[in-house]
Amino acid sequence: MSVADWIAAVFVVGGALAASLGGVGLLRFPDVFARMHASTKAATVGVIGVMIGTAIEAGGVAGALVVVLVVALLFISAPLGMSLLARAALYDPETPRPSRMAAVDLERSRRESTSARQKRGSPPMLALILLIAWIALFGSLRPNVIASGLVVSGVLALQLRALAPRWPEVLKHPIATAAFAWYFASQVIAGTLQVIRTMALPVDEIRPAVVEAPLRLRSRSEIMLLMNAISFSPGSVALEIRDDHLYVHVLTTDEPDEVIAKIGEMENRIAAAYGRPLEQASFESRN
Amino acid sequence: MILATTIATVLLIVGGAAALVRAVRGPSVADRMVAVDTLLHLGVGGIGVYIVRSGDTTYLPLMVVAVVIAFIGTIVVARYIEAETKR
Repeated sequence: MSVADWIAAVFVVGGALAASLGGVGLLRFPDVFARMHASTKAATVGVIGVMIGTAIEAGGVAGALVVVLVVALLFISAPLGMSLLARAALYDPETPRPSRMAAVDLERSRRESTSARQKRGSPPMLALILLIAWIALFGSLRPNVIASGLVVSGVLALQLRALAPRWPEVLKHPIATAAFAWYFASQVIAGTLQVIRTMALPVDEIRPAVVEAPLRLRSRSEIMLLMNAISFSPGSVALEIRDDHLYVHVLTTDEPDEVIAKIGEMENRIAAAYGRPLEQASFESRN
Repeated sequence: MILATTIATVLLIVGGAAALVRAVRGPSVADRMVAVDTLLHLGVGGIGVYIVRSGDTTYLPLMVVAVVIAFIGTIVVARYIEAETKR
């Protein structure tokens, strides 16, 4: 076995271990939101670990590109899907609730998208994303693949002009963005380890709670990034946004204020990556 | 590599069995959907382990399909629960 084989083997076994513990967490955790912790963190991160091993062994760049597409999809879809499901379950009377729960203030309106109407999206950006996904899916740079990808992504980008994203503003602040990416990665690892540690606790010592936190970020992409970061970071899954309040499920805590402070810090990091510092006042006034 | 993939397969089967038990027991629709979503993700891991073990890359695109199906399934069920709640 070569060195690459050994690294791949470690990732495959380690990832499978984390993923299987995520499955076991589904059985052990007391309520549906806590089970989502096991699903989004341990299971997803475990599968991503296996994917890294697969990318090393997948037979060159072509195979690795497909695996990179899978990992990118997992990173976006797993926490997002769970957040949507959690929000639905939050209002479902048949879903058993955690005993300690901040009441959702139904008087507050659901947030309408604010940024979509302010600036127009960029169809070339959409075409570029679609082209990259197309090439990754075929795992090939042959001229016919690129030509067909250009046609398909061009037609789709023109037809779906209304859905086009803007050029990501994070690219303007590479250092802050890299710092956030590093922070995000460390949170993902820490979150997985925390879920696994919590699983070893006796059931009556797992004390889930729903916490309400102020939300200062404004644009849709920032909020989506925050929801994903919260869902991947240790002990929290984002549930619902009402007006400028964020509801977060915490796996086990006795200190809700710590959770709120941590979300505030996360917002600061995201705002820095976008180059739009937040005013501190609204956060401190609530503490 | 045969040993590593064998261990990984057994681990994934254990996790998948636990998720399956949760999917059958429920109690709520959301519980079942979380379990099924996890099961699909573990299945993606299983395909990855198979690729590492055999070196056969035929099933690579299947992983993309499984992840997308898991995501769409979760959203559909979330919408279903919301629709049921409103009535």
